Amino acid sequence: MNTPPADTSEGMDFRVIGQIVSASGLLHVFPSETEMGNFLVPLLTGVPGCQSTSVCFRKLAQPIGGVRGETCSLCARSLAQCSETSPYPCGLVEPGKVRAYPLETAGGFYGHLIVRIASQREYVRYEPFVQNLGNALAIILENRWQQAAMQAAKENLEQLVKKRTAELGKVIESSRDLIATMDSDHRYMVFNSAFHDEFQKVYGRDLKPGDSMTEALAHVPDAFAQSWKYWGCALAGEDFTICQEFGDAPLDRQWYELHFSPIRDSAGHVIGAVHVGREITERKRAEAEMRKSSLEIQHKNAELERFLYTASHDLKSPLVTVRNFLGYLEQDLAAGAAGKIAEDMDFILGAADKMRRLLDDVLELARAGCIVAPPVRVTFRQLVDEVLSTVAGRIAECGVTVTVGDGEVVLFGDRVRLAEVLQNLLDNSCKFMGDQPAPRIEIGFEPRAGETVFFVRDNGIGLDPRHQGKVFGLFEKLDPRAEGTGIGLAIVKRIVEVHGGRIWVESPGVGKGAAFFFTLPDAVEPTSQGEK
Amino acid sequence: MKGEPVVILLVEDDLAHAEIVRRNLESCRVANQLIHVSDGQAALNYVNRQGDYSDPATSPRPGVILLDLRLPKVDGLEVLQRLKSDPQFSSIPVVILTTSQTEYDMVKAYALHANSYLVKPVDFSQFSQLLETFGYYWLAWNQHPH
Repeated sequence: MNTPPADTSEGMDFRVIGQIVSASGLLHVFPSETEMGNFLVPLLTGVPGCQSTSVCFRKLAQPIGGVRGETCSLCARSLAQCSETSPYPCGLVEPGKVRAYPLETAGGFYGHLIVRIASQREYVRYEPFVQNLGNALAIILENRWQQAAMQAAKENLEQLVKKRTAELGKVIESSRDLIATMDSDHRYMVFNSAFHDEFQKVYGRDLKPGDSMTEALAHVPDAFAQSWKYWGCALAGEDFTICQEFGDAPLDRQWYELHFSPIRDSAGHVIGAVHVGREITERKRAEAEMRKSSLEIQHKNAELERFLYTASHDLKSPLVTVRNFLGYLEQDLAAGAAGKIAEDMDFILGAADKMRRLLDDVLELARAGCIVAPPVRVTFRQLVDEVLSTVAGRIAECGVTVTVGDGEVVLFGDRVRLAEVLQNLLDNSCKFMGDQPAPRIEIGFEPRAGETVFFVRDNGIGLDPRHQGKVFGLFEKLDPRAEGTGIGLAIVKRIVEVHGGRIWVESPGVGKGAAFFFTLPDAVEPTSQGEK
Repeated sequence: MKGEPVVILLVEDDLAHAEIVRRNLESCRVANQLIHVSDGQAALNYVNRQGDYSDPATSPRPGVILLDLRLPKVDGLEVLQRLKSDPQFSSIPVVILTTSQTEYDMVKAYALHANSYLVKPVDFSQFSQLLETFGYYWLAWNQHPH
């Protein structure tokens, strides 16, 4: 126990040991394997008992340094084999003369440190230090390798991100929708040209990524307040769509559908928001048009239904009369009741006549519904004069005084049909004058709530307010004994409606006169409206 | 069966049709008195004994009303509605007699408590038959409170 083992520390050169040990700490400063090798080879060759040294890096084609009399080129060329045959990788060296230290860690194999020994006795003293140096080198190589792998992965990832971003950018850019994102500090981050250009057009600002909303919209407080509200909701986690109108002049207004939604990180926290805006003016217009035409169709259908109802009822009635009185006629002929025969025939003829008149009227009404003549410009006064000369006979016969109001309005429409409106209303007034000693009819127009309202007013028998809704119906007659089939006012209503207008009657009651009012929005020239 | 004739109020604007009804009921073997008015307003005035119809002697309360639907001034359905919503007249049987075969009119008439709905036949013998049956059913067989 007292005797120290022979050949241990005896005769050891501590300077050499110091060099080897400090080399372990220095290795990391060499940027490449070649430089490490160039540093190590002379150092190790200088170790007592060592004849020559080479460092054989797996990554390099050639070993550094040289073990005299041998080369490790074989080993370098067949690295897999080298690792398997360790510690005598080359198979060319004599056992005992060469030491090969694998540069190996748990994570990988990086090559060999190879030492040719001149004096075994001398070298063994230093061998543990050389082994340590090899281990230190292996660890550094592993670190380097890991770093390189990480760097490569990072670069790869960066490239992938760049590529994907570029692709995504193209997709966003190619959209006609206005797309923009905003970070949680209210800064515009990503947006496409559509958004940029619209922003410039509307707010006159050349938006750049990273611009803050507060600054970009500082000059338009209303727009800012609204934008702040919407983006704020999205940044608070709300996902929503709104429809909004933009623009000043009524003709310039545009409808947009704006969708806002939050952008979340993988943990679910909101880190920004995205906005997709789409112009839907055309869609809105089409929708409105469809609603309107759908209403029109409903209206037309209802009208058609009413017409069919009336026509079927009113046309069937005379048929019932004809068939039944033919039956009576047959009986009366058989009985030879001459007086009755004449009565039966009268009823049959009356019904046949009524049927003919109804059919004529139905045709007349159908004609009133379609404008055939091209629209012409005619003043209201001209129209009234024309109609008055047509019905002059009737007016004289009834002893009616007609007055025409002052002022002028220019009409643009089917002249014949417009005249028919006035003529029918004048006829109607004459017909229901009753026993008025001083019959009067007044024709004119007046502005009412921005519209030009025409009127024909009389001081005739008037009508019960309860029955005022019925007068415009097809074949409706308040007095079954009155002449005609009850088509006149139905035709008037039809013509007025074809010109986009409406018609109504006002009468304080029976015996108090009546006034028929109507509008012709599609026929009144806008410039002439209200001139008096 | 009672001795005194049943009063029928016929509300009909078509004079020819009124004549057909009159002739048929005349030949009917059940005693009846036909009173004809030609518009809806007159029908309401009659039952309410207003205007020309104020004298109960000449305007007796009808035992049954024959009502056309398309009428001047006040429409048949409105007359029906007013009669049936008035406790004074709601018990008077109202028989619709019309040319209209539309579903709408039938549904509406029954909804307003019409007691029967008859469509005027175009055929002569059918019309006669219809009114004969009407006469027996409503004037003879049908019972209602006094």
